[in-house]
Amino acid sequence: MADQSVHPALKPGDEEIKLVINGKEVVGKKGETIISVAAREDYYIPHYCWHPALSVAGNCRLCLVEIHLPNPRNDNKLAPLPKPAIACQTPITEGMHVFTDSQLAKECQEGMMEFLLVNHPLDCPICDRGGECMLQRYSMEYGTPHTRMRDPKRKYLKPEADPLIDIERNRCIMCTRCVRFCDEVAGEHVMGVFARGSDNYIGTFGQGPVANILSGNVIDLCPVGCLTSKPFRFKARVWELLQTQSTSIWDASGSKVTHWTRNGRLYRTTPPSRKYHGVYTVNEDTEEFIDNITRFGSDFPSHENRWDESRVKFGENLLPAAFTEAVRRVATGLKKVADEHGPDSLAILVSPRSSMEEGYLAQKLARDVIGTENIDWRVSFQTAEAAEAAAQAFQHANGDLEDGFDAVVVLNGDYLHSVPAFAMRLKEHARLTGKPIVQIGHHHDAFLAPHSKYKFHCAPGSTAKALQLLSKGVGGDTSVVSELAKIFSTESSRVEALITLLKGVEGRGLVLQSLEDLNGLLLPNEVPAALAFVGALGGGWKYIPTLRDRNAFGLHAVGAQPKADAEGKSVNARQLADAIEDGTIKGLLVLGADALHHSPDRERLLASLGKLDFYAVSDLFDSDYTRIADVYLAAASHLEKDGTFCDVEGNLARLASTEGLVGGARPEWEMLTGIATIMGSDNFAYETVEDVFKEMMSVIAPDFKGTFKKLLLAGPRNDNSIKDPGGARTHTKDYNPGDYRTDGAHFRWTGEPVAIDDQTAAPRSVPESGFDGFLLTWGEHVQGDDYHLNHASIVELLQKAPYVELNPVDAVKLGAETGDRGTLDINGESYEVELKVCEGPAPGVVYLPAGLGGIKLSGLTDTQAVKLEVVKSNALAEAGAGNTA
Amino acid sequence: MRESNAVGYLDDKHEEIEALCAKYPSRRSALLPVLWMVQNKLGWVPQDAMKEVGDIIGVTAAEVYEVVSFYTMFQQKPTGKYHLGVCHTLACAICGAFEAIDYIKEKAGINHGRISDDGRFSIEELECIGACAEAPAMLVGETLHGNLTPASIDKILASCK
Ligand code: SF4
Ligand code: SF4
Ligand code: FES
Repeated sequence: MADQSVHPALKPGDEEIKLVINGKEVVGKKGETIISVAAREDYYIPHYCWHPALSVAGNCRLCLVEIHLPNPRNDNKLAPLPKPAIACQTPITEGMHVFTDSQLAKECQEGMMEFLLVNHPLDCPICDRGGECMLQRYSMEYGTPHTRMRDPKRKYLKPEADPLIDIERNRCIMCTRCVRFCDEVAGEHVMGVFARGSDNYIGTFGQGPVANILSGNVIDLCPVGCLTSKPFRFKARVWELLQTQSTSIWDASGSKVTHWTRNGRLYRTTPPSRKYHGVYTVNEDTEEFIDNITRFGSDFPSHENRWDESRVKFGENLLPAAFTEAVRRVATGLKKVADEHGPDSLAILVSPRSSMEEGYLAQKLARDVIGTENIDWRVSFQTAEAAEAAAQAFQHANGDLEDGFDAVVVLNGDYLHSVPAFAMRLKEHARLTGKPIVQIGHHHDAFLAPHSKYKFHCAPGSTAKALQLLSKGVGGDTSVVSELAKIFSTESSRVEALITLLKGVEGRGLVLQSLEDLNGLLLPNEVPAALAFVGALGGGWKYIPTLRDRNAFGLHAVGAQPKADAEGKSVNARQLADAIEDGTIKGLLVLGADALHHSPDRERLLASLGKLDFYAVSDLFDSDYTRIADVYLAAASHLEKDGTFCDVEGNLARLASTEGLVGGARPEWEMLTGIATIMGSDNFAYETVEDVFKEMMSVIAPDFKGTFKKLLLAGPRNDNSIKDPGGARTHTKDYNPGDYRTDGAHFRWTGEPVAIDDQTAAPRSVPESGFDGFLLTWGEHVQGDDYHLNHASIVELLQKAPYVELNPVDAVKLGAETGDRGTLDINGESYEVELKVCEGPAPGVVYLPAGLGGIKLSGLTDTQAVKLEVVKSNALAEAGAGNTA
Repeated sequence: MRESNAVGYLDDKHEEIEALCAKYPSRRSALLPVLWMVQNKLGWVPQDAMKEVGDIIGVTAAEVYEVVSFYTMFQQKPTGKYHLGVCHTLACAICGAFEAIDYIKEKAGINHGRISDDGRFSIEELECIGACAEAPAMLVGETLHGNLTPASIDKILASCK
């Protein structure tokens, strides 16, 4: 914020308004409120209910300021407003004089603090918010040191509403931030203000859970100790914890986080603590919301099954060994296989949660030292073709949300449960600006649906065809309209309106494609179709493929997959099980056993590992995948190592070590360096991971200007300007809540538009109509079975029970509604699921999030007909009987 | 829009509700009248009904509960067949509202809580119901009875079959 130009708030075309705050002339744009202009100009106005991400509620009254206005009836002489006004809601006007620290303003702040404390228990010593509480801070800064309250204070019972969020209503100051967050950002009005007047309280209906993947954010948003984290409750005081700025390894949206640790143990994970007016706070005025998995699941490295010593097989036993010995064994083991069977009998599998440095070294080891193309990270796809299509998608990805968009076309996918924070930002942009979201495909995102201007459902397998026709349509070919109307089962006029809308976008347009859909089965058709569509739309349109795998983009960028022209000459992740079984692959190095666990055919893969001559794995845990290894390398977890990750928008983020290494665990870049060196390479002379980073960036992005150090967010630990982190606010402006996205470096590769032929776009065969049931579609869900999440301390609270999404039209036919239970028959297996009626799937289609409740969809190679039967609960009719008035 | 044919409290009222919704620019505006339908039918608004109303109107159950809990005239607990609302604000209190309440409780058999043992009556103390001229006064359902005396109370209760 320090080096802003003259009128930072103004864009061309904005109406400029001049006003005076505390004697200083400032400029704002029409429609802005006093509090935002003041914040920008470095005048801190105390506030509880105002938050930049939420609508204005104006109920805490703490932001009262004194205002003088020119009086037109008296020669425009300044006259004070008869009453103070709230800064969060009052728009600025020309010539306005605002006083944020006058006698009147101070008295108002003091008076409001006294009101807020009337019923407040002030049990700070046993309150988890203590030390980071806005009420405590404001009491010191704006309140009076004594109370005049003599009456007993109001008390509420404590509900057990949410398993993750603790509610202590006595401390609530009724700012309604939590209610507005659920309503506006998380998308559902699940929290509410109940009762009236001084009996007001917040809660959920029937003491139910908040049950949303973003729900944990209300904890940081709550300015007081009413909503606190249950897993963190009474575990530690915030000031005793060491804060480390890092990044999520779950969410490919690239969420940045702060890990709070002590003595090597992770206590909590929050959005990054940001310096705001001289104090580091979490989410006080920033919009960096994170998903619950990142927030509550990141403590898996301290699971009891952690193996933090490397192990080597002696006879039948896997026994602890020194790291150097283990590395030597891997190097000699790999070399032996290569000498006997040739370099192409070796393969390296990299976890999609590896850092870019690790991916870079792994591919360097494969290509330069071993001499093979058998390296891959794309483990979660159903077929080899899907993996190829994903590589093509990443090659052409060039979009981001940084400057928003004028229109966005969203293709098949459950974005909220695959890239949560990204989906949230996308929805927020559409909600706040009214820019249109267009959803096309057999499965729409139910979270985006209420904000989607156009929703076009089509049968599974016809998305590619629809896109091809649309590409012609925007090119001016009107003959496609009727065919499109048929595919979408809608009127021609709506199709025409869509084409007009797409053609009319002058600025930025985005096409979003989830590579998760059906584990990529349809991608070989849909990726080229989408790329051709982007090309047909022309200049301002960009393409973003999304995948749940955190570092998919980064690993693609460093080349941790076979080169496109090596097809047929290499073994990729999807061909691995076959290749091991037929003896093509004899030796395997796996970096992160989650790479095996997340494979759709993991049983087969696991069984095949026994056939290998040599199998080495680097991982964190004692598990099915590591116990059978010839060498187990104890890896440093995401809390113990440094590295670089790239998100779906192409932003780089630094993973940072919190308190160093644990036991005998070592970061994977050291292993790879050691292995390569012992295998005879002298090209792996890295002292630190930063050396790897420098070499990597010089290869993949020579124009990159940033540095490894700069990628690390400023935080309490590496910010020398902080003398007294706990001290009172000073009026120094050092952080602009609006510019957080630019902290990371940004780089992108762009490809040429692709032409798509009719054959590629031809609809896939799906079961003919007349079958008895629904067509099944599926996709990975972040709250499902996950190798790392399975080791988190509260995994059972984070994983979701299986459910299916069902179109309202079908729900009527079945007589089903949200919350009913049903049984789903897939391939002769019957699963119990909850039904969720929503706009997601097309009529006749059900969407099943994969991985929930142990439902396995491996073996499905196409959409197929499934049977869904509804089990009705009939409690309603009885409950109301016998009551008439 | 309700999308299912599940058994609910308002299954016989769908047409009426649709007609109501059509009167307003947005469906949610019909919330209060629909809640009244529930209360008139059942005598109170159970939580299941709040969910059902939410589904019909297109708001969440939490939002319905916000409204129900805001207006004290919505009963959140079961009532008797006849709901007696006795005013106990100033005028009625001076004219013997508390004695009337005790008498009603005794006669109607309301021994604990607010519902009589036979489920016929429930009682509630109201703030001013605007009938000060006839104090003490009470509402039986929506019918006003003023100038309560033991004799008139006996008669009123007897007429509630
Ligand atoms: S909310 Fe703040 S002021 Fe209230 S008890 Fe907790 S720490 Fe103390
Ligand atoms: S719980 Fe917290 S965020 Fe919600 S209204 Fe109360 S004080 Fe505000
Ligand atoms: S911040 Fe202005 S009223 Fe709460």
